[in-house]
Amino acid sequence: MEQKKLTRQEIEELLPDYIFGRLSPEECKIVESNLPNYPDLIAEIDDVRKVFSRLERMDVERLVERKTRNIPVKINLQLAKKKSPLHYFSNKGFITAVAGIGVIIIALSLFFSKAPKNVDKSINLTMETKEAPLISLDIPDTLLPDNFESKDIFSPISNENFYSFDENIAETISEIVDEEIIGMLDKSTSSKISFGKISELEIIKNLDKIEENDFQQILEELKDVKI
Amino acid sequence: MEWVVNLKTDKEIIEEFTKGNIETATNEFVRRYKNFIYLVAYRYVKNHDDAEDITQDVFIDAIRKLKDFRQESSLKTWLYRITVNKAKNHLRRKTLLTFISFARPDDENDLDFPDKSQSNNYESKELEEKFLEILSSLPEKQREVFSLRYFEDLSFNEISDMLGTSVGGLKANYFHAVRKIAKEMKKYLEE
Repeated sequence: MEQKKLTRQEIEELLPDYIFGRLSPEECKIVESNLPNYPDLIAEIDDVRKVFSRLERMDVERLVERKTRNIPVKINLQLAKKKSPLHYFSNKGFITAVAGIGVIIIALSLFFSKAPKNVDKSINLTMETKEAPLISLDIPDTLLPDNFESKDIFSPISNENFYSFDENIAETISEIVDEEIIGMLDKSTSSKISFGKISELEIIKNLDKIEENDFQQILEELKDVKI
Repeated sequence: MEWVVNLKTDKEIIEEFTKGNIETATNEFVRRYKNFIYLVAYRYVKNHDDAEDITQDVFIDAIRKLKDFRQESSLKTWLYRITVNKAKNHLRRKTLLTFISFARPDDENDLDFPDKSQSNNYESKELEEKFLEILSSLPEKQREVFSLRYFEDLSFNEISDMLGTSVGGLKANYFHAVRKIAKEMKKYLEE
């Protein structure tokens, strides 16, 4: 029986499977009956067989098995981690979100801590008691003496848990506060405040000792003060 | 007595997942396909660590989606596609990172199989290295069709599903891959 005639392309497509023994007996016969038409392919088949016979000893499956033997354990660990509720806290997305919120909070707190510097410093003299501003001792560096150091202001006294002003420095601060407050008031009222018989130094020294009721009373009195 | 379940087919694995026998199904699923996925990933990324990471990623993804697997293709084909996508994404990311950081790319052809020292002799060890080097230097289609046919023993129809190429095209690629490997190996052996 005459075998089917194969074109060069057709026989080339069958050659690898023919060489590696993966063709059916019928297909093998077809290839073999056509090979004499392509002598260069016969030589090529010989070369391929020689080379691949040298490689037959290579057991890729065995090689890979050694590389992948820990993969099941690793996958089970990953799956167990994913099931755990703690997984959400170690999740990259969660960490990123928390870090983002943290950055926003820090940025906002920095923004608001600096904001008062840009605010109009004029004082609202008709403010209510509830709106009374906190008195801050944040003094600009430019207003402090050249040789001034913060540790000079607050020095612990024996074992007690409170701090006392050095008299000279407290006086300096008092002058600075005067200049600041009166300077600001000057801008809006062109007049000066008198604290009466009590010295400003005394006020500052005892500010933290004033009772809440007394403080409210002072504010009440100040409400009616005309400047 | 310990009850050992031997799952036979892909269909049974999927059924186990559907029934909720996740652990049994996962173990069988991983055991069956880990080498295949690892080798596919390795052919693309050419180093063990990345190939292992990709293999784990593929399994985690596949296990998550397995319940919805429609069985329009075989599990192997589906896994192959996931693996190739992941490996290609990995390479793209790596190329971009290398470009941004001006870092030297990892040494390619990190064919550091631990069994080298256990090979029969130094000559066969070298031969294996050379063979894998030549294989990894082939164009992607040729390399893939050769590997899937020669090592995995898949049919051309299955490979066609995986690679999205016609069977005729695959056969031509297979022939050219075999021809190139033989030519290069012959040159090497004659040196």
